[in-house]
Amino acid sequence: MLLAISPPILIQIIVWGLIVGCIYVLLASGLNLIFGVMKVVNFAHGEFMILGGYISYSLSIFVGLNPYLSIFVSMIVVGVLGVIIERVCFHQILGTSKLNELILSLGLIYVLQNTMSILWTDYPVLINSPFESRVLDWVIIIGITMLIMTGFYILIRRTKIGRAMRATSQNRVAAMLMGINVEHINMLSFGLGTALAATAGTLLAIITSITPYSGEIPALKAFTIIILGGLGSPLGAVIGGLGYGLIESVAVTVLGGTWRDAVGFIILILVLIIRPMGLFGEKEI
Amino acid sequence: MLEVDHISASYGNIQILWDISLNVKEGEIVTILGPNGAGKTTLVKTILGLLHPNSGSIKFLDKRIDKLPTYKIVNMGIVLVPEGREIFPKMTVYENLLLGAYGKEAEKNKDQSLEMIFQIFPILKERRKQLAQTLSGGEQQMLAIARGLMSKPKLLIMDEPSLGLAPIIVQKIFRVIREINEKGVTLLLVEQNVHRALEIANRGYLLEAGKMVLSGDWNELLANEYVKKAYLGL
Repeated sequence: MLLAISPPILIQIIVWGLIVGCIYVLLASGLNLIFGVMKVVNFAHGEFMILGGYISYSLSIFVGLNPYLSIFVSMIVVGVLGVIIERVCFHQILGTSKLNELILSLGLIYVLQNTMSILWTDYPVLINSPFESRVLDWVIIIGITMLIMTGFYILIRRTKIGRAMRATSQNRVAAMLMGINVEHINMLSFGLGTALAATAGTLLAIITSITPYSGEIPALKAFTIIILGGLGSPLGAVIGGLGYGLIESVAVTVLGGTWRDAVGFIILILVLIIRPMGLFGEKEI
Repeated sequence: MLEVDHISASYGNIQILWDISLNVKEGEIVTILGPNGAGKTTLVKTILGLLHPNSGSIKFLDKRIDKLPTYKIVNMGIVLVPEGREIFPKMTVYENLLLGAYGKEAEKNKDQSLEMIFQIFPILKERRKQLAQTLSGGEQQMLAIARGLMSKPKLLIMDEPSLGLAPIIVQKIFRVIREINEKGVTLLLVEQNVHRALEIANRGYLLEAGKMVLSGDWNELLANEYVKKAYLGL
């Protein structure tokens, strides 16, 4: 079917897939980090993303900050909020039972949605790009994603704190025995994960309008992506995110917009039948 | 150096340790002996703060540590080489060693410690860029010990370092344990291999069903009729 599409449209499909894929990569990587280190499934991840979008929106409207620069402010604000929420909420119940963690993060969805609804109302908002050319926006979005993901990679791979995060995710008790304060690492991972979500939210609000409730579907997709890529596999989150964006973009063009949200889950089910550990995951020993 | 004073500990409602006391003096090798399920690992976990005692106290260098979190205890100088190695499988040998030197004090001496460790375990130098999960069982145990040494321990606790290893490797490990002790590290050695443990230890404690049943110098324990019959097969 793809062969019947003219080259310019094909390019458009691919570019759009990559742009959306960038957002998924950022969202899924943060979710993956939180899951890897804390083994907590943060269902409210999509709301942290949208909050990041709103903060950037307000900065661009009221302060006049370039939205691409406001990403970094929004990242810090949401990251700090993430740290606080980890301390006040997750920290208290971690290790008590999976059900508690589940209910807490589900509850957080509504607390965050309602708070955003009060602060920004339910009317859809869009961040206006300062640039005339959409192509320039696309290039910047891809560039910023690469920049942030490179920084993230260096932090995780090359720094002492990143090493401590990986150690905690691989073997929590052994990490404690190395003298690592794992509660501290939880807090930082949650903050970093939500900061990444905030960047995704800002980019999302630049390419399409958001409401306080726009986070639910992307969060579900981010779950699909990290399951597809293999839980805890950083490379899996990147390739999974880009792949998901591309497939969705193709599906929307070929099958129509109604398939946008379904196609990913169909793929998820297929992949799990063939490779239950995910594409880049490893078998449990 | 380490004083465990009448502690009891439980997992949930099940009491594992009953009124345990023991002490380790600076420079010694002390061993905790006992069969599977006697509570040896639980005792070690309690010392490291992975489990908090219900009653009794634990002091290290005259400071109470029984309510401290694990990372603080480790940074005070008690380091555990845990049972089953517990290395970080998807990190390189080198990264595993660096994690051993996570504490501030240990980090300062990182290069010196690395040099010493590569001298004791040349194989780890060869394999430093390999993922830890690709090492053999014996090499993983060496890595676990090396990682423990990177932490610059004042007291190094080893939980069953010889478990599941070939005799020739066990021999090497015990030689290393003695060498470490000669370098000034105090050792608390948990072992099922009673004969080997008493060969290198100054003193020993015998733990059975969560209770301390016997303690004494190595030669007293070796000569003890009960130990002979139950553990040495004599």
